Amino acid sequence: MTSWQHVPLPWKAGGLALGLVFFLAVALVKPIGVSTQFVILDGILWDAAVPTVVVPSEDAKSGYSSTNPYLDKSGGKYAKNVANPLNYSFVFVIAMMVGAFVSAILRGGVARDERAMPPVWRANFGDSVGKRYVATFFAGFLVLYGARLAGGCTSGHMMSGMMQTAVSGYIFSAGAFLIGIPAALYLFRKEG
Amino acid sequence: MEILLAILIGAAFGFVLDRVGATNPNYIIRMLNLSNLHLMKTILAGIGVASIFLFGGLLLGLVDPGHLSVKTAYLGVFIGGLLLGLGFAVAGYCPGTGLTALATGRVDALFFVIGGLVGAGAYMLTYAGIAETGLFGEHRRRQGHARTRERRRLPLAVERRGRRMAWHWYWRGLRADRLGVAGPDRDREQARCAGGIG
Repeated sequence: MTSWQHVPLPWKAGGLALGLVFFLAVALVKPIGVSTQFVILDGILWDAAVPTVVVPSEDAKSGYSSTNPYLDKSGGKYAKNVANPLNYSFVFVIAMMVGAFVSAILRGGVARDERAMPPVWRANFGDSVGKRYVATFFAGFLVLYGARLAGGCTSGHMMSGMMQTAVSGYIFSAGAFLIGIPAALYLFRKEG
Repeated sequence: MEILLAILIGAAFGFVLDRVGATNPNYIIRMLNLSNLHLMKTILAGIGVASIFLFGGLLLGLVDPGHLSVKTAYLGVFIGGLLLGLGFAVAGYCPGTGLTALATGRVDALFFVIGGLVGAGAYMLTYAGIAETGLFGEHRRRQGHARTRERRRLPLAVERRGRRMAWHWYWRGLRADRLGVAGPDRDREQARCAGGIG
């Protein structure tokens, strides 16, 4: 394996690559953000089941309105993206998954025994796959509920926000690490 | 054009996330329990590099300031950060790394993403109620402003100028009071003061 294929990359090289991507995104289009697209996907699924959830509207600034107040906010900005999934932010997230998939293939994929849980989880909570899946399900719930309440996640607030020296980015990161670090110290006392 | 950029930048972002180890929950959990700070260094270096390029580009006029998007700070940002922090520690995933980890073949990430979709859905359903609680200081203030302006039927600039004038004359009047300016001078000050406010 050549040195650039070493995962994880040395932090200096990794930081440079990560920083360049975040910079390019702002320079060419807009800051990177991910968590909104969970809402958009929910909206797409919901609208597929109940077609009246998002409808074209001449009154709305975006041209679309929704019966859901969250999709309808800011002139139906989210409602419009639900109606037209081929927009920048949604395609960005799909492409992001493809990029990660390609990278994983090139480095030989994730080891079979790591696919259900990371070693540090196994060392502290044992081999139960069900336990890990239930825990990650509820963790996912908390993470996305929190990210939507905050109006952004690790990408949008922490990386994109702090690079622009946005106060909100610092407040968000303070909150995330204020709970994240003690929780991890408490839950994961044994090293994996 | 924009879709092409979404594909290119998005793919580069996902590729890099995987290469720096961010799709591996082991690195995230060990960053948070402080036993391996490699990823923390990468993230901080990334923010620094992006910041230097961004502000350099802005200074040189190479970056369109219109592309910047600074999110508002309100109480919910902090509370949301706390909630996210807990889930982040338990799973070792955040929204972006959860999706990319799923793409690399991690099964626990699939449950994280499903939980995330349910969580985002729960937020959509409770949003109207949360907006009432004042967690969005920003949201309410903006509404308040709109209401005030409508009631007064005054353009914002006029309103601001009026307020500035009122303060100016208020302080002048106060100073005149303190200095004990007597007689016609004082009366004149007070008359001007009242005129300013009126």
